[in-house]
This record gives sequence, C-alpha cells and structure tokens, in this order.
Amino acid sequence: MKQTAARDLHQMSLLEAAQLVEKRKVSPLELTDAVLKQIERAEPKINAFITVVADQARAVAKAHEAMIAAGYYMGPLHGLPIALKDNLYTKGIRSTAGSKVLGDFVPDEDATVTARLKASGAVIVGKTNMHEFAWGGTTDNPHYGPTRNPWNPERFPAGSSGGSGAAVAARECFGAIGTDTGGSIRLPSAVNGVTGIRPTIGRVSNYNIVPLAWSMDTAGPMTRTAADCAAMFNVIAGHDPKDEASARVPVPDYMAQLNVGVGGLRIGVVPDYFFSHLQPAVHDAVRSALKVLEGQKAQVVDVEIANIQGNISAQLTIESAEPSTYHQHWLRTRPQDYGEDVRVLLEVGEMLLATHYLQAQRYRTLLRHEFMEAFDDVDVFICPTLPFVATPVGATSVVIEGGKEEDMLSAIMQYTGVPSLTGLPSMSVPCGFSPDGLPIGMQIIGRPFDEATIFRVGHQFQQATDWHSREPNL
Amino acid sequence: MGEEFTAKEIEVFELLADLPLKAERRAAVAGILSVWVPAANELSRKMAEPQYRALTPNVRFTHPAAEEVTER
Repeated sequence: MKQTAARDLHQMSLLEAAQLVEKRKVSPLELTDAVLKQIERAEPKINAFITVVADQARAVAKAHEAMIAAGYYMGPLHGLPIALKDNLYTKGIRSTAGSKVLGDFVPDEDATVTARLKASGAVIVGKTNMHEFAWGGTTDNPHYGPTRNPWNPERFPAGSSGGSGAAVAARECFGAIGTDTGGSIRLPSAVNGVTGIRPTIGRVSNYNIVPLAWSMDTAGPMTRTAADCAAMFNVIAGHDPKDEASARVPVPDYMAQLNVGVGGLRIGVVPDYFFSHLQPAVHDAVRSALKVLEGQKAQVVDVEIANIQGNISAQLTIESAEPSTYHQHWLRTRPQDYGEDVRVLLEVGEMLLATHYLQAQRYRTLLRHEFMEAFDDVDVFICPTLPFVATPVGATSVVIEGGKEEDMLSAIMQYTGVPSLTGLPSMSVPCGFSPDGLPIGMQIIGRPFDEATIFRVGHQFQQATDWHSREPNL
Repeated sequence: MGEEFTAKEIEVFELLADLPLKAERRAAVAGILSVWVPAANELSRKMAEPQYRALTPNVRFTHPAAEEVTER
C-alpha cells in the first residue's frame, strides 16, 4: 500500500479538497482533471464505471469555477467530483441499473439524490458499475463486466454497489452514492476499505432510483472518511414529497457532533451472534476496534437479542419476493436479457408464498422491537460488516470456517441483514486488514434517525486509527 | 413433502405463478427453493406462535413514533 508524503490532488479526502476549493487554492477543473486522469489509469484494472461523462464534468467544473471566482461558494461539495451508482436516474445520462433491460434508458428527470448533489455544486463524473438490478452481492456483472477490488484485482469488490466502493478506494472520485437493500453500501465499503452509510429507511429519498425491494431500499454516501460521509449526507438527507415513504423528521447538521468524544458512550455487542461464524482475521480486527473505542472511554456492553436467529431467511424472503414483483413483466417478456444468477432469483421469488412474505415482515416487527428495547441500555451496536474478506472474482460460494463451502448470498448478509430488516441506520468503517492485505470493516448500528451518533463514533475511531487513509497500489 | 424439491414439484409452482419455465431451468430453481423454503417455513412456524399474535407486518417504516427520534 502507498504511504505518500506529497499527495496528488485525487488522493485527498473530500473535505481536504473542499478546503482548498473554498480558499481558491485549487479549482474544480483541476480536481476534475485529476480524477478523470486517475479514472483513465485505474479503469482497465478495476472496471468501476459503466459510463464516464468526462466532457460534461469538465464543462460543469468550469462553470463552478466561474461561480466561485465570482464569490458564490456553495459549501463542501462545491466543485467536487463524485460518482453515482447506475441505478440512480441522471437526466440525459444513460442509467442502466447494471442491466441489459435498461441498457438504453436515458432518464428525462434526475433522482432526488442526483438533483440535491447537483444543487450543492457537486460535479458528476460518471455512473458506477453494480450487480445487475442490485440483486446480488458480487458486482460480477454479465453485461458490463465484473468490477474488481483495487486492493487485489483477482478479488471481488462485493456489491451491489461494488463500482462505487471500488471507485472511492481507487481515488477515482471524492465520494460516491450507493444503494443498500440487504447490505449493498456496507459490504463494498468493507471489502474496499472505505466508509459508507446505510441511512434510516425514509431519511434519504428513493425517488427515481430503480428499486430492488421497496420496503428495505435506501441510498447513501460512500467516501474515504466518516467526516466526508457526513458532509455528503448533509446534502442528500431530508424529506422529499416525491417519495411517499420519505420521513418528515428534522435534519440536523451531521458535521456538528463529529468532534464530540465517545467517552461514556455505550456500545452494544451480541456476542453469540456478532462474534460467531466468522473468519479469524475479521474477528480479531473488530475486537481490536472495540478496544480502541474502549481506550477512548466508551463502554462495551453485552446484549441479548432473543430472536436474532432467523434474520437471514426473512431477508432472503423479502428481498426475493419484492424484486420478483417489480420485474414480473420483464421476466415474462425479456427473460433472456437477464444474467443467469439474477434471472433464477427472480423466478424463485415468484414461488414463495404470501404467508412466507408476511411472516417475514412480521418478524421484522419483532426484531425491531427487540433492538429498540436494547437501545434503552446502549447507544450504538458494533459488529463486523461481513464475516469474511474479499473472495475471488466469480466465486458463488465462500469458506468461512471448518473448510465448509457456503452459498455466497446467504453468507454475505449475516450482519448487514439486521439493520436492513429493522430499518436502523448503519455504517461500515475500515478497521483492519487480513494477513494477505484485504480490508476489513466494522458496522456501527444506531437508533432510528440518529445517523449523527454513528458519524461521531466513526470519526472518533478514525482519529485514533489510520485504516481509512491507506491506499491500494494500482 | 421432503426438504428437496423436484422438477415435477416446480411445475406446480409454475402453474400457481403463471410462469412457465423450460425444463432445464427447473433444477436451478429447485436447488434454491430446497434451501430457502424450509428456512422460511421454520420462521413462519415461529411467527405463528401465540405469543406473536399481536405483531403486524412492518412493510414500511414511515412516520416514526416520537420516542424513536433522537432528541437534540
């Protein structure tokens, strides 16, 4: 990994670059050119983008440069190059959702998240690769090629927002937007060594984002640091009348509490679930991370969640029934246009019973009640983001322990399924590396609409560690 | 019914879903359903127990209760 003394522009964090833009020491066009040059350098190795809009990005950057020169500074995202997962609508830019079915789809309207980023002055450099229709965790895309992990291109970037995770890790943008249904922001954040948050359901608009499973879909930022993540979250969070599931809850300044220490904070762990059935390197890294936070005077508390077992089945039932409903027409008219893995999952989702689906949804209520009760005694939970490190590109199974191969889809959601089902916000933060140099992430789970505390814990952890600032050799 | 679904049994699901599949696709579908359905049935048995009778499906978390929103 690189430890550079004098860094190039594209190697800075979002907030470092923003400071230079605000002081007019660096222009948006210089930042955009630096990022586009890095995209040219890295893309042949990692394939993180489906579409790059270099000319448009330069034109927008020039316009922002003129605004800033005229005294109109719009805030930390002004003039900063960012990337969007390809299931977000972008007006005039092809938005495929990683599919052949939508391969020619050019929206005539932005997603609300896209519009808010544009209004904050962000420069969109391109649309990132993803698992087809977000229905899977590998980003092994049959239509646009697999995205590869910048830390080892023979390994996967996880998914479904694998392109966004790889692009941030490879310094191809200062931040990216991902979407997360069962773990699709947090999983690629963990295996690519970046920071990414799944918000409380309803906190960020899903308007004009191609859905996977309506009752669990969310969108959120993926960045190099927790502070960068908070800066992007400040822009995209908030009620949207165009999204009927959007919550009318006041939006705080997510940067405001970052520097408040974690002394006295109570961190819940569920030992029998959080630290069983995982690779030793992951176990050790997350346990060490808890020690770091204890060193900052946080308190680790063992908690029992009586019905946590069963969450993976509930997750699979809901996450298959809802996409199969959305795709019902295309599955009958264009089945050959789906990749094999997604096609069979859509077929399976049509064959589950309504009672399976509704019992799974009732289980969500039960699990949420248990977590809400536990929040009387703790402020956040911390667990691994996933139980293993990046697997080889193309793998459909994984060995976690005992030499036994397990189905990738079930195994990968061991920890991320819990916030998805309960609607709780959660963020993956880099917390170590395996002996063979692959990143490991820990997941911080908070109370509903308390993303501010999650950002604070992540930021304080990153003040005491340097896992987040390490950079892959490409 | 055993834990393993057969291609013949998948044909019944196809009828229910009005989703005819070619014969070569049935094995892949059966393989996944053979794992997922027993797990879903186990969860259904749990959720059908009397102590959970009052729980309703939480399909969307909108309009959070006031106590769920952190005070600032």
